[in-house]
Amino acid sequence: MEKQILHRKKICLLGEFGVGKTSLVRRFVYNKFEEKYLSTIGVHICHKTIIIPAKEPAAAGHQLNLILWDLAHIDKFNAMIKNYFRGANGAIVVFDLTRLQNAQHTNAFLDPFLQMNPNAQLIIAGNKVDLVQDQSASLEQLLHICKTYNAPCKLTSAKTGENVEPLFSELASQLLKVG
Amino acid sequence: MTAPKDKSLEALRQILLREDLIKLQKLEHELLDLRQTISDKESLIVALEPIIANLLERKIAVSREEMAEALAPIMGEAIRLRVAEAKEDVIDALYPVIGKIIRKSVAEAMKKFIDSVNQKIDQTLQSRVFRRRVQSKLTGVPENALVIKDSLPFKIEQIFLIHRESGTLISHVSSQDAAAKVNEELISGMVTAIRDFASEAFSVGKDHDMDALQFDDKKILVELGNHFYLALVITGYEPAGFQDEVHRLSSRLHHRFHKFFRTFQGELTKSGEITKCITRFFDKHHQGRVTAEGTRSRPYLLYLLMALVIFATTIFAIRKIPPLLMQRRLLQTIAEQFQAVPELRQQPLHFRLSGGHLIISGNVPSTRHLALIDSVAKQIHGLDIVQNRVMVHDQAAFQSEIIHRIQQQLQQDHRWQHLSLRFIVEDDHLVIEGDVPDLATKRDIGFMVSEMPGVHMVINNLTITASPPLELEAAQQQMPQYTIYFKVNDATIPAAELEKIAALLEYIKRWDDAKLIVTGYSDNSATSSYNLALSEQRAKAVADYLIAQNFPAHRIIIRYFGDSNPVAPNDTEAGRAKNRRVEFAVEQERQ
Repeated sequence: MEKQILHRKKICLLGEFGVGKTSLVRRFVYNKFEEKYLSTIGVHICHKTIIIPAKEPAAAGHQLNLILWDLAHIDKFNAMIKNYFRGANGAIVVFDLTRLQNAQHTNAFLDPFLQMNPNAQLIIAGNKVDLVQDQSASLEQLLHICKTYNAPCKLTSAKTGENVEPLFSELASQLLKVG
Repeated sequence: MTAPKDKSLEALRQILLREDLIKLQKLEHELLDLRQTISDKESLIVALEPIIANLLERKIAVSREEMAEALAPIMGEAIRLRVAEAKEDVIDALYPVIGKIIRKSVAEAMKKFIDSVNQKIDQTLQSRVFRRRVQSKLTGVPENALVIKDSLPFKIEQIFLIHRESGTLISHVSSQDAAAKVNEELISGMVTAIRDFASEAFSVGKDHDMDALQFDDKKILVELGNHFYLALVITGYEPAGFQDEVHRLSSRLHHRFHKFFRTFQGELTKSGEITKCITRFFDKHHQGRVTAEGTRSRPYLLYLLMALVIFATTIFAIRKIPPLLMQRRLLQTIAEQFQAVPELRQQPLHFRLSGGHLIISGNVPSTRHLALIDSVAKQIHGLDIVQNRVMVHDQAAFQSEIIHRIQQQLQQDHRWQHLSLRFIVEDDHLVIEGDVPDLATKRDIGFMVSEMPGVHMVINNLTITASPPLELEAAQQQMPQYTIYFKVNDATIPAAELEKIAALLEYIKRWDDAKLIVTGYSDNSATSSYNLALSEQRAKAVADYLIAQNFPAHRIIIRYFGDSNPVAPNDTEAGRAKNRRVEFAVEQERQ
């Protein structure tokens, strides 16, 4: 059996309050969905190991342990949360597809994050896709954000589990290509 | 007419009741004040407080138990009610009082404990105590505090090495039971988050960091490196010096892996090596206080023993090496001297020094070579004793040569001429057999043979022939024929008398253990005292001659009696000539 190489990568989950960051993490890590939001000192940490399938030639034989830093909502007054950005290898930026009008505040947290971690890999998650009637309109708005930050995106539902696993796998593949 | 009458009555009333009315008004005022006092609780308390306090004090002083009995049910009920109605208020009210009592009790208990520790310190004379005292003097920490710290349990449960910036776990070491319970990645992340949180919250603008987190009996100690930090989960109280050891571990890790830490992006390529380093540290400490103590305390006794061994070795080297070098040089000189003799140059000779003796061994073709070796050895300066153990190749010739030389020696000494001895050469030793008269003879012959060149070992089987029993009476009868006669007023032994002494010696030698009594006499020609002195001189003259003839002095007994005991009348010349004599007698030596 081929020996697998272990990596540990720090991933931050960024997004406005109530967009579904924690739910996404819980669905991915524990395969659970809970309506309750976990209140911490501003961060909730958990981890999951992904074994990259052999079809990914660049990453085959690698094991990736994703350390997920689920950060509380950040605004301009909450400078403390920014400390948790340090040393991150990547981030999942989560948007609520039902409230995309709030996306204009993305700069407030994403800019400091990229300033601290210029080489970090980003992926955009348009969450709560199960609640959206007109997906095309939402997708258009989301693609605009993706283009701005040059990041791929996925439409996800923490509630149904739709696209949650591919979201993290996509990010994992990107991390290994870079790292 | 009625109105003026009323006025008069009123005036009369005013005159008669004026004083009473004033008193009544005054009473009304006092009553009003009293009502006000009663209605105002604070005023009433102020008014009654000194009275009631005095009353209670007096009552308690007179009958304390009675008061307690009376008040107990009321007070108990009141307290119960108050507690039930306003628990928080009661706690708030009692907290300062109870806190003081608890603090006092704890302080007293601690004082007793510290006194006990101090007593133990005073009673114990151990190296650890001495070390602790020194440590206390150096650090300024009271000795009893160090004792307490050392006495408390301590154990490392887990060690995390975490990337300082990202909080990513690089290495984790724990005991097996702890490993099953923890999610190490989660802990690493959370400890990092808490560190960041604490730094941000409490160290604004300062270069401070979190040193430890404590929960119940567990503590997470944090040791910061440049790119990573160590988080040690411990229980109990870390012993003195433990932080220094953790710091040293951190420095070692930094020194070895700083490139890896600096460029760390999540790849755990060096994780295994790092874990090995940490495991060594963990294994040393996680067994608890004893192990931690063991690593902390230096093995001073071992150091002392090592120092002693080194010291002893050095002294030994200083004392022994120069003599050894000198010996080696001397042996080289000796070998050169033998090499200088052409006939010995090709001979395989070996030289060895033992206790100041030179021992020569090897093989030579003839006894001539052997004699040559002897002569060269005698010329070596500074060596008194030389043992020539060189063998001759032709053993038969060599043996007969040795025996011949021994027999020559025996013939040259008159003491041994009459002895009949046999010499047998067996392998590397020489056996002597035969009879000898005494132990001295046996010893002297053995020594003579062992000194012969080529003889390495002598087995002295000489038998001491027992002397015949002394037949005292017969011997005494023989003695008169050996009596020595002297000239007038002379102590010199006449030459003609010497033969008698030779015969006496021959006769008496058969008894090794017999004493010879030599008794001097004189005639009565002079005074008695003169005669006594003359007889003494005669006895001594004979004794000296006997000793000169190798007769043992310790076997001679000298006696003298002057002109006493004449053997003939002194009135004739012939009689006096018989009295000027020395007589002999034998006596069995006392056991």
